[in-house]
Amino acid sequence: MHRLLTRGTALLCLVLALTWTGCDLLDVENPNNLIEDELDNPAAATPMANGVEASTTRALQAILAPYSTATDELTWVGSRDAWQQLDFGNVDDPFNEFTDVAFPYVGEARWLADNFFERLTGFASEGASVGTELARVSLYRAIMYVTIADMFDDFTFSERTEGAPAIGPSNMVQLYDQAIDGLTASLANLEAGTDLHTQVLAMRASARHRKGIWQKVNPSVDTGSPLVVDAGAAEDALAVIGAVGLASDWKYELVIDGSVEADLVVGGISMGTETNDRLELRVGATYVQPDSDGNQIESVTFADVIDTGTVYPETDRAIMAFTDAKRTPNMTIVSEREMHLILAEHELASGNMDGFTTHVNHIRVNMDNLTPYSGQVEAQAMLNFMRQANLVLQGRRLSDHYRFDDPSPEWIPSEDALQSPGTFLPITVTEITANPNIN
Amino acid sequence: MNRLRRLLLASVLLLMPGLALAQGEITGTVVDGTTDEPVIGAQVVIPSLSLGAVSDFDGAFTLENVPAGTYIVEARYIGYRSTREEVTVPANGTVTVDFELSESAINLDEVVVTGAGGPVEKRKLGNSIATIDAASLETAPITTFSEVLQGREPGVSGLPSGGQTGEGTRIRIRGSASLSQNNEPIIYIDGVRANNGGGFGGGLNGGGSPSRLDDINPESVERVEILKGAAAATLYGSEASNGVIQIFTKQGSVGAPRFTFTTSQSAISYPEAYDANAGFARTRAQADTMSAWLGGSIQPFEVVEREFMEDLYETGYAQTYSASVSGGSPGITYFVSGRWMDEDGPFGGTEDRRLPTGASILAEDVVQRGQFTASLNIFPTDRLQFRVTSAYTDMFLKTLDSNNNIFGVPSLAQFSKPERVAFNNQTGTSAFATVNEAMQQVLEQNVNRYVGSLGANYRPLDNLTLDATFGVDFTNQQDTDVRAFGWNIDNFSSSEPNGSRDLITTVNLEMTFDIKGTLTNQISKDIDSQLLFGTQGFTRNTRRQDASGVAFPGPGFGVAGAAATEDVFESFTEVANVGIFAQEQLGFRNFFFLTFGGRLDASSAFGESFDAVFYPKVSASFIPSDAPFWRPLGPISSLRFRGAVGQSGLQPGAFDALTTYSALTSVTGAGIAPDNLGNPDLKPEISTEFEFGIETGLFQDRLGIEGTYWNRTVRDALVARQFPVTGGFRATQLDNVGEIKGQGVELGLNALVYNSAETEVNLFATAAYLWEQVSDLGGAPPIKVGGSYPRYRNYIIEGFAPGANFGAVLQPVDDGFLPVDFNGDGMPDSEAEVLDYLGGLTSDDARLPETTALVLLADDPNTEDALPGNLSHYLGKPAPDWSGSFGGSVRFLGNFTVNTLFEYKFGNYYVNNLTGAFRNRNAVIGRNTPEAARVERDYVTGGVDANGTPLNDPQVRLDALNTWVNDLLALAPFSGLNTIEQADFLRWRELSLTYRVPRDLVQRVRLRNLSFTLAGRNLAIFTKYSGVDPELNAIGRGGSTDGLDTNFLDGVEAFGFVTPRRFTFTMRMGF
Repeated sequence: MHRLLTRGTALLCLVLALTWTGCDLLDVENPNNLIEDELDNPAAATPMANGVEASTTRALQAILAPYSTATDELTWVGSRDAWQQLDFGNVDDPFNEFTDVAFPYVGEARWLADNFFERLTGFASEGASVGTELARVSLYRAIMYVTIADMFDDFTFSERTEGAPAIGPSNMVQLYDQAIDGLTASLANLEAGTDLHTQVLAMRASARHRKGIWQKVNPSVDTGSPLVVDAGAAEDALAVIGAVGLASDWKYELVIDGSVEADLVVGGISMGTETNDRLELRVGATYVQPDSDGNQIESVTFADVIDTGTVYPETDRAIMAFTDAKRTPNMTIVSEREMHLILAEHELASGNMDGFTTHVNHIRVNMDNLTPYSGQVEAQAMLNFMRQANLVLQGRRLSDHYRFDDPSPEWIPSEDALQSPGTFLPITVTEITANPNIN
Repeated sequence: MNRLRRLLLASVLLLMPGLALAQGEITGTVVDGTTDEPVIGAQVVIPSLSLGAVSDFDGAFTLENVPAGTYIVEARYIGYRSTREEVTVPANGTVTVDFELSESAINLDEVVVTGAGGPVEKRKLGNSIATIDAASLETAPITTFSEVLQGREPGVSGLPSGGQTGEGTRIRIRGSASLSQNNEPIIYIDGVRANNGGGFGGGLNGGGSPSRLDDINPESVERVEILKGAAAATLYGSEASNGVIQIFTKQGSVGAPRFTFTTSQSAISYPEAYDANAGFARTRAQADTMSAWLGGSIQPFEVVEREFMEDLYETGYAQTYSASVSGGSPGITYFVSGRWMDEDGPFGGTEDRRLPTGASILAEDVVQRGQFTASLNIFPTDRLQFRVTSAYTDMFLKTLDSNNNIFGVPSLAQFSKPERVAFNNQTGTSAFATVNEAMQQVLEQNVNRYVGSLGANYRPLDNLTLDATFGVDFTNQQDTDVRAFGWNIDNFSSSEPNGSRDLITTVNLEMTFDIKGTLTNQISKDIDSQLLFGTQGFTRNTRRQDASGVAFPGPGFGVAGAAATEDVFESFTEVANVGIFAQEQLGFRNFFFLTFGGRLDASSAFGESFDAVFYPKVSASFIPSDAPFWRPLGPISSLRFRGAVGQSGLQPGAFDALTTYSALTSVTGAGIAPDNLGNPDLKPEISTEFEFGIETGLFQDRLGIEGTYWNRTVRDALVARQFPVTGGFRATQLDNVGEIKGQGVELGLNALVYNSAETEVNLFATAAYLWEQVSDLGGAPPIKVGGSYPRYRNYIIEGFAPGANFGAVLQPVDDGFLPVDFNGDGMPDSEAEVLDYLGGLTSDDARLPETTALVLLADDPNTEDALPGNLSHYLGKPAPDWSGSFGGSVRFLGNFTVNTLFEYKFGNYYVNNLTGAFRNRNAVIGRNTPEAARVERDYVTGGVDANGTPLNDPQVRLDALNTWVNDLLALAPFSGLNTIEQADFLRWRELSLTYRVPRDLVQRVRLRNLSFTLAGRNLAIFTKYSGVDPELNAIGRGGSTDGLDTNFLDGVEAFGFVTPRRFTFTMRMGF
C-alpha cells in the first residue's frame, strides 16, 4: 500500500509539473516577421508600396547583370565562367547559374506587385485613401511586366504553391498591354504635373514603344524593318517632355544607396557588386579602355559617331556614375533622352526626317553639346548609336543588337545569339523543376 | 525567469527528503591483476542495495552505511571483467575486500546512463550504446574534444573539413537522418542539453570555422556515451534521430586533495600537398618582365613553376597547460580543473613579402582557449545527493579568409600565375585581390560560454529513486570580419577600399530540465522490474545581432559606427520542447531483458494543426552465456544477442510553420516582402530504427567481437520544398513529404593479444558500412545543394544517396574520334578532321575549346526523370560505403607504451575536386597547374623550339586537346566533368610513445605519477585522390547559414588548407 501511494504521488507531481510548466514553455514569440493577416489593414498600404518598390529594384539589379553580360555592355573578367557563356551569346541556357539566381527575384517582384495591387485596389474600393500607394504599385508592376516581356522568351505567373503553365512566347506581348492598362488607370487618378504622374506617363510611353520593339524581334527578327512607329508612345513622350521641360535631362531612377544596400543588393548577382566590387564583370571593351590588369576601367572610350574624337558625354557619365556607385548604382527606368529617342524613331519610321533630326539634336546639341546631326551617318545607324549611347545599362541593348543586326563582338558563331537571333532569357531550371506545368 | 522558478518549485515538490539508517561499511582497493597498479575510478557496488562507491587515485574505496548482512559486492571498470565477492558486513563494523581486475576485450557489465533513464548495465539494453573512456586516450595526441570522437567508434564519423588552426569537425552518426534539419547529433553534458553548433555567425567563412564541441575541455571528460540512432534515443524525443552524445565530466572522490598537472608543447606543419603555380609568357616582353621578377632568363612559352601556396607556410607552435584538484569527505566531494591552450598555427606568410611602407601582414591563425570546470557532490544523507557542475570557456580565434572565397588567402595564392607577377602583385593573381591584400583581412571569434547544472538524487525508498537535473548552456559569441581602411595595399582590389567591419553577436541560451523516477521491484523469484517515468524538456533561445559598416573616414577606426554606410540586422528564434516518458524493463534471471516504453512530445515548432507526437520503443537483450543452460562452446566465453526498435524525431525550425512577410526597405521607406510560405500541418519527421547485434568474448574475453546491423526509415521527412518561384515566395518551405532509408553494419574487434607485467599488446579494428537512399520526395522537385552555384554537384534526388553528385560526362566516341565538333556538323570529329582543323590554327588564334558547341557532352541519360538536362549523369556519392579505424597499443619494458590509430574511408567515395577544376580549366584565374599550363602552351603554339618560337605542329595540338578534353576541361557549362573523383584514403591519424616513470621513482620526489609522451597526429595519408586532401570540405564546420549545405555539401574540396601534421611532447604528473 505504501509503495502504491508513493508511486501515485510521484506520478501526480509529475503531471502537475508538466502541466504547470509545459503550457508556458510552448508559447514562443516571433518578433522577426509579419504574419499575413496583418496585411488586411489599410494602414499597411505605404509599407506595401515601399515593399513593391524595393522588390522591383532588387529584381532589376539582379536580372540586369546576366542580361547586360549577354550584350556588349558587360564582359566577364573573373572566376565564374557561366558569365562567359553569356558573353558568348549562350542566352537561352536555363541552367546558367546567374540567370537562374536572378529569375526568382523577378518572379517575386512580379507576384508581389500583383498581390499588393489587388490588396490596395480592395482598400480603395472600401474607401480607404490609398490612391498614391496604388499608383506607385501600378508603376512598379508595369516596370516588372515590361522588363519580363523585354528580357524573357516566355514566363509563368504562378500563385504561391500552385504552378501555372507558361503563357507562351507569342503571348508575351500581352504583358505590355497589361502594363499599359494599369498605367492608364493610374493616370486617370493622378494629378497632372506631379512627379508620380510624370513617371507613370513616361513609363507608359516606354511600354508602348517597347511593345513595338518586341514585335520587331518576335516571332522572328525583322532586320529589314526594325523601326517602331507608335503614335500613342509618341504622344506620351511629348507630354513627358512638356512636363519636365525641354533639355532638363530628366530621369526617373530606381535608387539604391547605402541605407538599403543590405536589403536590395543580392550577393553574387547584383550588377553593381559583380562589376564594381567583386570584379567578376567589367564594362565591355566597346565602351571602355581596361586597366593593365584588365579588371577595371581606365577610361570610357565610347566615341561619338560624328565627333569621333569625343567620348560620348552621356555614356561617359552613365558608366562613371555606375562605376563610382560601387555596389549601389541607381537604375534609370525612363528619361527625357528616351522620350526623344522614342519620338525620333517614330518620326524616322514615319518618314519624317526633320522630326527625327530634331529629336536627335535635342539630345546631341541641347543636352550633350555635340555637333548636330545632319545626315553624317545613315539615319537608322544614327538611331542605333544614339540608343546605345544614351540607354546604356538600362536593359535595352539585346533587342537593339538583334533588330539593328549589330551583334556583340563577343558572341561566337555557334551560340544562340547568332544562331537564333531574337533569343532572350529563358524560364530557368529552378522554376522548371518546381513547376509541374513547365516542361 | 518565471518559468524557471516554476520549474524549480516543481522539482522541490518531487524531491522531499526522507530519513534513512546506516550500520556498517566496506573498504578495500581495486588493482589491475596484471600490473598491480591501482585502478582509478572503478565502480564498487552492492547491486541489491543500489549502493556504490568509486575507487580513488590509490584504488581505494569505502562503502558506508551498509546495513548489516551478507551481500554480493561487485567491482567494475571499463576495459576489465567485472569481479564479484561475497561479503558479510557486521553491525557497526568495517569489513575489507580487495579486488584484482583482469582486462577484458568485452564488458557487458559496464554501466551506462544515456538513453536508459538511469544507471544500467549494458547487458540489460537491447540497443547499442558506445562508450569512450577518456582515460584510455590519455596518451593520444588530442587537443580538442572533436578529436576525442574521431575514429573511435564504428558509425561515428568526424568530418574535419579543413586544416586551419581552430577549425572544427562535423559529427555524423550513421549518416544523415534528415534532409533538411541539422544532422549533428544532440549533445548533453552531465545531463544538460548543450549547444551543438559551430561556424561563424552569418557564414562569414567556411575555412577555420570552429565547433562549439571544442569549447569542452577534453581533460575534464571522464567518459562519453553515444546513442547512434532512434532505437536507442527514443527517450530524448523530437531532436534525437541523429543520435545523442552525452559527455560525463570528472567528479571528485573521497580523500585528500589530489593534484594533476599536464603540459603539452606542439609543433605543427602543413605537408607539401599543392600543385605548383605554373604559367608562361606569350611574348618576349612578357618573358623579360617575368625574368625581372622571378629571376633567371625566361623564354617565351617556357612553363615556369613557383610554389606560391607553400610560401605561406611556417612551423606552428602550440602549448597547453592544465591542472586539476579533486578530493572530498564522505559528505562532499569536489573536482576543479583549469586548462589553457594557445596555438599559433602553421600559416605564416610574413616572410619576404613585398609590402608598401607601413604595411604588414595582419592575417594570423591563432586559437586560445581558457577552460575551467568545477563539480561538487553533496551527500546530506546516504539517500540524498545534490550535484553542482560548472564549466566556463573563454575562446579566442583569429583566422583568415579561405576555402571557396575569392578573397581567401589560399584561393588567391592558388589562382596566382607566374606570368602576371608584378611589383604590386607579388604572386600574380588575376582577379579580385592580391595575396598580400587578402592577408590584410582579419577574421576573429570571441566566445564566452557557461554550462552549469544543478541536480538532486533522492531515494525515499529502497526501490524508488527520484532524480532531477536543471541546467543551462549560455554562449555569447562575437564574430568580426574586418578590412582596415586602405586594406587594398596593392591598389588591386576594388572591394571596400576604405575598409569595412562586420560584427555578429550570437547569444544562445539552452535550458534543460529532466525529472525522473525509477522504481525497482522483484516481481517474482526470477523476474525483476525497473519502471522509469519522468519528464524532460528544453528551451533554446538564439538572438543574433549584426552591425556592419563600410567605408571608414580614415585609418585607425575599428568600430562599425564610424563607417559611412552602416547597417544592422537582428533576429530572434525560440524553440521549446517538452515531453513525458515512461519505460519498463523486465529482467529474467539476469540473462534475458525486455525493455519497452515511449515518449510523448510537444514542441513550439509544430504547426497549428499538430499537437503532439508519441515515440515508442522496445528492445531485448539475451545473454545465453549467463544462462543456467549455457555450456562451453569452443572458445566463446561470453555471448549476447540484442535487438531494439524505436522511434525518435526531428522537429522543424522555430517558425517554419508560419506564413510570414519580412522587412524589405526601399529608399522611399520601410517595406514588406514575402518571406516564408508557411505550412500549418508541419510536424516532426519520424525516424524508425531497428537494430540487431551480437557481442561475444572469446578466449576468456581476451578477444571481443561486436557486430550490429541497423535499419532506419525516416517517414514524414521534412523536405525543404521549392515551390514555383514565380508564385511569389522564393524561399523553400518545409513539407512532411519525404522518406529516407538507411541501413548499415558496424563491426568492432578488440584483442588483448598478450599481457604480462612488462609487456602488453592490444589491437583493435572497427568498420562501418553505410547505405542511404532518398526513397521518396513526395512530389517535390530535386533539391540542388549549394543553390544555383553549378560547381557544387550534390543533389537530393529520389533513388540516390543524399548529397549524390550529378553532372556532365563527355559524349562517348568511337576509336579514332574525339568528342569535339570543330566542323559544326553536330557530330564528333575524327582525328583526321581535328588534325586538319588544328593545322589551320596559329598561336594568335588557337584557343582551347570551352563551349558545348565545340566539346560534345552526352545527352540527358534519362529524359523522364526529375532532373532535366545533360548535367544529370550520376557521378558518385560523398559518403563512403565503408569507414573505420584500426590500431593498437604495445607496452614494453614495463613502462613504455606505443599507441597508434589509422583511419580509413573507402568504397564509392567521391570528392569534388573543385580546386583542381578551377586551376585546370578557368581561363582567367586558372590553367596554372603544371599540366594545365603545358596543355595550354602546347595548344596555343603547337610546340616551340629552343628559342620559344611556335612550331604550329597539329599533332602537338591534338595531344594537348586530348588531355584538355579528357582530363582538364571542367566548370560551366561542363559542371562535374573531370572534377569528381574517387577519394578512398587511409590516414595514419595518431602515433604516440609514452614513458611512465616507475612508481618507486616518482614517489621519491613525492609525486603520485609522472609520464612523458611524444606523439604525432595526421602523419601520412595514402590515397589515389589527385586533389589536395580528400578530407577537406568547402563548407567547413558550419560556415553556411543554409542547413541544406551544412548537411549535404559534402565531399567538395575548394581552396582549403591541407590537414596539418602535429608533433606533441606531453608531460603529465600527479601529486
